[in-house]
Amino acid sequence: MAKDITLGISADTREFVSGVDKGVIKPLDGIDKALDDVAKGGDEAGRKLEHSLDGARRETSQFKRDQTELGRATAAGQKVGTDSIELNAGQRTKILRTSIRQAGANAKTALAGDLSSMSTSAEGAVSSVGNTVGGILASFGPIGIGIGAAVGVATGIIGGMLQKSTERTKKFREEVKTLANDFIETAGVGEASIGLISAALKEAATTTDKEAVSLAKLHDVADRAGSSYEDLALAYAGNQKVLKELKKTSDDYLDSLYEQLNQEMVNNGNDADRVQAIDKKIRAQEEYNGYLNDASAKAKDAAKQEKLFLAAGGPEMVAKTELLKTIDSAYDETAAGVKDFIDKESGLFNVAKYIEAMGKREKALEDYQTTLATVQLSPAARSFIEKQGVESAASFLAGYKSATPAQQKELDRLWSEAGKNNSGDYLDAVQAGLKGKTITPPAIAKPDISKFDADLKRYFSTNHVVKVTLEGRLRSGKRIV
Amino acid sequence: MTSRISVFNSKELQGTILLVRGAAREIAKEIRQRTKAVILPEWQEAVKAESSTPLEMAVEAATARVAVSDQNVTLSVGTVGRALSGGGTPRELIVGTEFGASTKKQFKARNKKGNVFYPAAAKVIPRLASLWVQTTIRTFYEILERK
Repeated sequence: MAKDITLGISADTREFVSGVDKGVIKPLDGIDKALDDVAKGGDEAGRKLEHSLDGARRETSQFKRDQTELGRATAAGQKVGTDSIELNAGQRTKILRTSIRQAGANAKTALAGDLSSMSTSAEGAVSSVGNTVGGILASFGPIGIGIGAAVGVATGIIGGMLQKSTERTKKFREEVKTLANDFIETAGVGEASIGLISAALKEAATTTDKEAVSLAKLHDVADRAGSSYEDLALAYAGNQKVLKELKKTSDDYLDSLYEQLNQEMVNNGNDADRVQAIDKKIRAQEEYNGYLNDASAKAKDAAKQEKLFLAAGGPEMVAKTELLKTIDSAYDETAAGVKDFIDKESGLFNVAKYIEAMGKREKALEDYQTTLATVQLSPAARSFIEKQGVESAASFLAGYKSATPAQQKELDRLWSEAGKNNSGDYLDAVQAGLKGKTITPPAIAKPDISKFDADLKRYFSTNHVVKVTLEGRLRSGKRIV
Repeated sequence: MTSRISVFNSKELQGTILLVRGAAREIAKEIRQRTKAVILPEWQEAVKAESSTPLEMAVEAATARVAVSDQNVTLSVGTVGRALSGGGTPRELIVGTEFGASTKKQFKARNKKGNVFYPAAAKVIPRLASLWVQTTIRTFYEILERK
């Protein structure tokens, strides 16, 4: 079938509307004045407006690059959704509608006065109301209470929004931090642990904070959008696999809705109800996708932090710190072990013996550090050795140093396997060997979530079944279920 | 050639979109209806002015339509209409009519820029946008006046 030839006279409306709804795009300054001018100016204003729009169109191609950047900024901004001080869609609509109602009442009064003193032409009426209504767009504040007071109210609203925005930004950063820490701890690049996901779900299920994203809110938006609630809850709680898949399908779905709206407008443009039904769906789906964008932005930031941590040699530093802690505590134990140096016969503290022992221990610790730093062991083998405690580790290392290269290689292999301890690699090997047979994952993969489950059930006393998909993850970060 | 206007470049378009989006349902509906009533004849006139052959008149001028949503005004040609006497519906013939074809004789020669729709759109979009903005604002104020 031939392709339709259609063209919207305005471009970038989707980005603009969605950006304003999300609070990440601030409309241009002076919108109120621009609208007032149009309202007041009659035919002359019409010509001027046409000229100005023609200029805007010429600029459109020049601004292409900026728009792309703006688009990117929008996407980046959506993840925070709070850098701007604009009101969110719900608040904006509410305030605007209230204002419009007030404007209606106010306009009557204004008109009564104006009409008596001015010409009764429609233009006169338009301009008198124009002053009032233009103002709504600029401040979204209540109108008809005097310019000075209106400015005060607008400043108050903006101040309040700014405050909320700072709080939300702070909260977002906290959440990224938690997620990044979890990524680092589970050592699965860009993957959260079951513990974190279930904790996040539990928090969302039980939160009483009206500002927080609760499961009830997610359920509501999923319901309105007609999209999966279960997946949304999991994705929002941090399940990266679900998030990635859901984000893609949801973005595609939203695109198809836009396409549907376009078709509907072209084919049944007169049928406002049908167009609005799709528009309503789009708004709900945009909200749905907004949550996914939030989650995705958090995950991206967290993954970035994890990457930076890895690039900066974070794991080595952590390992070293752990090692130093072990050594320190061993040293402290010796230093504090006064009773070991009390002479059994005389009952006196044997200073010479104590100093000698401490010296030996110091030497041993130093040797241990030097040896461990220089031996060619895999990280897994090294981790195994470190866990044996200083005494045993020193013996192991002494043995290692005196071994032949072939023996050293074998020791490295053995310790690596031991160090992995039920690791994914080990399991992979076992699974390869048992191909076709059922593997029962180790018990570690099943945390006790009965309480969490009970909480959820209590919370959703009706038919909302929450299924939690668990991904077992062992220390090495290999997925096993 | 860019013939559309980016909303990022125009305060008036931003104001119009925000106004309609924030307005109550029945106000938005009336704004859409009035905008359509104002813009449709202008658009049809513009397409007619660019149509120079009977085929263009039948496939494009006779099928020029306008769809108004809360965020945009969409211009179209060739999406409606019954089969023409020579066979083929406007929908089937529109692409050939607009962009020409190298193999079929009934169409003009290939023209990437378009023969009717795109030249017409390029000419009238600023005026149509201006009408959209004006109609929206005036309708809005008039409704307030009625209340």
